Formats: sequence, C-alpha cells, structure tokens
Amino acid sequence: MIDFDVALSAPLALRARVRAQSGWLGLLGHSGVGKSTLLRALAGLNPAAHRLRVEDRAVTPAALARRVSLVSQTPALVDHWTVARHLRRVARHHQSGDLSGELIQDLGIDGLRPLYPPQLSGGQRRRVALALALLRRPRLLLLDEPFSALDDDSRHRLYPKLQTLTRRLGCDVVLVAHQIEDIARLCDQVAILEPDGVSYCGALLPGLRRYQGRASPCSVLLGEALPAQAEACLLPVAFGERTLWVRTPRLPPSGTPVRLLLHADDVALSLSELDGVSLMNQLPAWITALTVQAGGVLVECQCEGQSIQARVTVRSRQRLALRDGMAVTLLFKASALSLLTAG
Amino acid sequence: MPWLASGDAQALLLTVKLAATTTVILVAVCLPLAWLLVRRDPRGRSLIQSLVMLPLVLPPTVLGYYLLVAFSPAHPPGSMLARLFDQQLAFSFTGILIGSLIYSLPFAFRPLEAALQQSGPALDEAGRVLGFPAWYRFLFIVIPGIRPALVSAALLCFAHTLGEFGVVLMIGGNIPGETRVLSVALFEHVEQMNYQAANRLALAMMAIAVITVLLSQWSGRRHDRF
Repeated sequence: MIDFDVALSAPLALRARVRAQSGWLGLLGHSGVGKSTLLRALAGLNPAAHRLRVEDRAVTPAALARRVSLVSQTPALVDHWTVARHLRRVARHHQSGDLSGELIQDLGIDGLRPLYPPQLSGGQRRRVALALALLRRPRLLLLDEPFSALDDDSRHRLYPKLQTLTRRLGCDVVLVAHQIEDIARLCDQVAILEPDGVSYCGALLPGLRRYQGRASPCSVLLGEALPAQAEACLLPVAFGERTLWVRTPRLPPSGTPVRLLLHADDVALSLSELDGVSLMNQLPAWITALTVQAGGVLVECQCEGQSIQARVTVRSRQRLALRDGMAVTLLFKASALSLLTAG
Repeated sequence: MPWLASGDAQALLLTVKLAATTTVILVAVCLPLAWLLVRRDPRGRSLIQSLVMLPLVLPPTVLGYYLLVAFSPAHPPGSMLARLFDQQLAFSFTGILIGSLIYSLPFAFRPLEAALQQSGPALDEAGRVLGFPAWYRFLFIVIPGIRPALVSAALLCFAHTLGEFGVVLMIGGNIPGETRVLSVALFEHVEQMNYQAANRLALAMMAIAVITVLLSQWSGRRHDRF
C-alpha cells in the first residue's frame, strides 16, 4: 500500500498525507502547487523535511533514499560516467545484475551504453534514468513527468512494459503527469494536491471529475472492445447498450476492457439525433449539472450509467435553453476518443 | 663537470620532496574540509574561510617569524611540538614542511572549495538518486567530477611551494640537505656573484614552472572532451 505523510517548510510550505492501495497512483495538482517538491521529499532529497512518515512510522531522508527511486523531469546522472558504467555500478551496489539485461532490452537503451549523459537527448536521458531507478528494486517509484519528452509512439510501447515491470518487481508508483491521458491510462487511483494539502485520494474516475472543474475537463469512459471491422483503424467499443466508434491504429482483441478519454471541448450537444453527418458517435443522454466557468459552460451528462462532460459557450446554452434534467444528444467524432490501454 | 653542482642537485631534490609532500598532505586535508564546509554550511564557516585565506595576505617573513617563535623550545608550544615530533622543529625539514603547509594552504583550499561549491551538490544528488551512500558519492562521484580543479589545486600548491623563500629562510635557514631549498640556493649564488650557477638554477625552476602550467592546461582540455 502507498501510505505517507510529509510536511515541509522549504522550499515551500506543504503538508501531504496520502493513503492508497498498492499499484499506480496519479498525483494531480496545478503547476506550482508542489508536486515535484513533494516527490523530492519522498525520495529523501529534502533534508529540511520536518515530518516524514511512511506507513505510520517516522523515517529519515537517508532511509527513504534507500528504498525510493525518483525519476525527475531532468534526471540527475553522473556526467563523467558512461551509461554502461551507471548500469554496472548501480547493479553491483544493489545486487541486481540479473535485472539489468531485461531493463536494457525493455527500455531500448542498449545502443546508448557507450555514451556520456551530456550526449543524451531528453527522452534518452529519462529512459536511462528509468532503467537505473528500477535497477535499484525500489519499494516505491516516483515518476515526475517521465513521458513528456517521448513521442506518442514510444509512450505507447513503454507503458505496458512499465506496468509489467513494476508489477513484477512489486513496487508501487506515484506518477505526476501533465497529460491527464497518462494518468487515466496507467493509474487506478489519484490524489489531488492543493496548497492546503491533499483534497482527494481515491478511485480514478471520481478523482478526475473532481479535478477537472479546474483543469482542461475530460471524461474517462469504460467499455469493452468488440471485434474490429475490416475498416482500417476503426474500433467499435461496447458502451452499455450502445456502441462507440474509436479511431485508433492499435486494435485490441475483442473482449478487452478499455478506457477511453474524451475532452469536454470535443463534445457537441444537439436537441435531436442528426442524419446525414459524418460524426460517428451520437449518444442520447440527460443533463445532470451545469456549471458556468471562465471557459464557457461545463455540462455534466449521464449516459449508460456513466458521466460525460461537454463544454459549450454561454451563447449555445442560451440558444438551446439547456437546463438540468433535459434530454440531449452528445455528438463527437471517432477521432475525439483516445484509446487508453486496458487497465 | 655535471650541469648542476651536487649541492644544487641536492637542493633541487629537497625542494621537490618538500613541494610534493606539502601538496599531498594539503589536498588530502583540504578536500574533506572544503566538502564539509560546502555540505554542512556550519556557523563558523566564514571564520574558517578567513583563517584559511590569511597566509595569502600575510608577508611570508611575518609568518616565518611567528613560526620561529612558536618553534622555540623555550616556550610551551615549541617544547610540546618538539616532544611531539621528537626533534627540534626550527632549522629542520619537518619545520619547513609545517611552514609550507600553512603558507600554501589557500592555494590548495580555494580552488577545491570553489569547485565543490559549484558542482558538488549536483554531483552528490546524482549519486543520491542512484542510491549510493555518502562515502561512495564523495570518493567515486564528487572527487572525479571536480578533477580539473583538483589537478589545478595540486599544481598551484606544488608550484607555490617550489618558490617559497621568506618562510623557509626564517625558520629553516640554509642547511644543505635539510632546509636548503632551490630559492635559498639561488639567492646564495647571487650573493656570492656566482652567476653561472644562478642562471642554471633559475633555468631549472623556470622549466618546472612551464611544465606545471602545460600540465594544468592539458588536464583541463582532457576533461572538456565531452
């Protein structure tokens, strides 16, 4: 289980208490709220932390540093060591030589072995740091924006490998990611960090909904992959009684549970179903809440027992006379849905 | 007749021995001391820094005079030191070694402290993130990481001890094989108007200085390769 309690006064005042199940925990919070600071303290890198408790026991920064690995946005490596020497020395120190071959393979860093850290690109550096972090066989792995320098293709290849590796090594993960997609894809639980502490810690979907009021709002839909048609790159997904169409190059086998991400700005509302449009997804739903925001009106809808958010302009709301409990049709393109791998 | 008279060769050997011993001891002491100051930032840090810098501004003869007084067996510090080293310190090799250690201290300490201040914390953190203990990080990550500064501190310290004159003359005098270093020998040749020998000694010292500078340049360039 992931259970810690941290209080800091420098570089910023912060108090965070998190108690969650084992596995992947996403840490959400606005920039500057102290997510990276919290991770550094958890990795034992803040000697000024005046409260560090793990599983209800006080620990020292040095003890944390032994059991916790951190991969930060710009991971620190030793500039005068080659990648190979990093791997060798870390493996020797943590008696994990048996693991290194597999990690090198999985993270695709074999060709980087003769290079020095200043010769690595941002993405390469992070992959090396990730391999080294796992090579330490940590109890807890902290990932601070680990994927932001990777292109979509490498991310999609990296995610399942990372999940398998952490499960096999039995290490829990706390993930900070700018893109909600990454968190929705990898984590089953989220914690929301605010200036006065952790305001939510629990299951993914309620957490995302709660957080989205302030960030770029989006919904995560749960469904099950259906047999893919001959049409290239189009996946039908069973969504309750309805079928959603997803444009994706990766077609999972039929019957796989899938998560779909839908940005509220990509959803349009209509008072009736439309004929003669290219939009592939039209869902009957009813409105459960309307919230006026700076960016427009956030419309919370219910469909097949799941919640979907749409964001429209104040003008559209007036034109359609949207109100609570009203039946509407949600419209979005097949390409608006992004497929997150099965959890 | 050999190029250097045997007395001068002896002085050259003695000088190199003095400079090498001073350099090794100073680097070995200054590295952990400077790292402690940078890491812990203790309350007396600026006081320690000022004390370390003092020999830089103090006239060497003044330093030599106070050391001579301190070494005098008539007073407590001198008698205690004499018992500790089991010998009279004034006019001995150990005596001029102690003088050199104090005199060259800032030249070893300053570059090391500056380098550790600049890149030490980042190197240390890289090691910490990789899960290495403190002693390992210091020995295998921090020290190799500041190698150019380490080399330049050692060379500066060596070169500076080679040219030492005032302190040695005050506390060591001019005893062949014991305290007669190159600069003292050179001075003596000039006093006796033996300019040929003086020329050769000066040339030898010049050569050592040039080699020192070249070595420090070469070591800096090797580190810049990547």
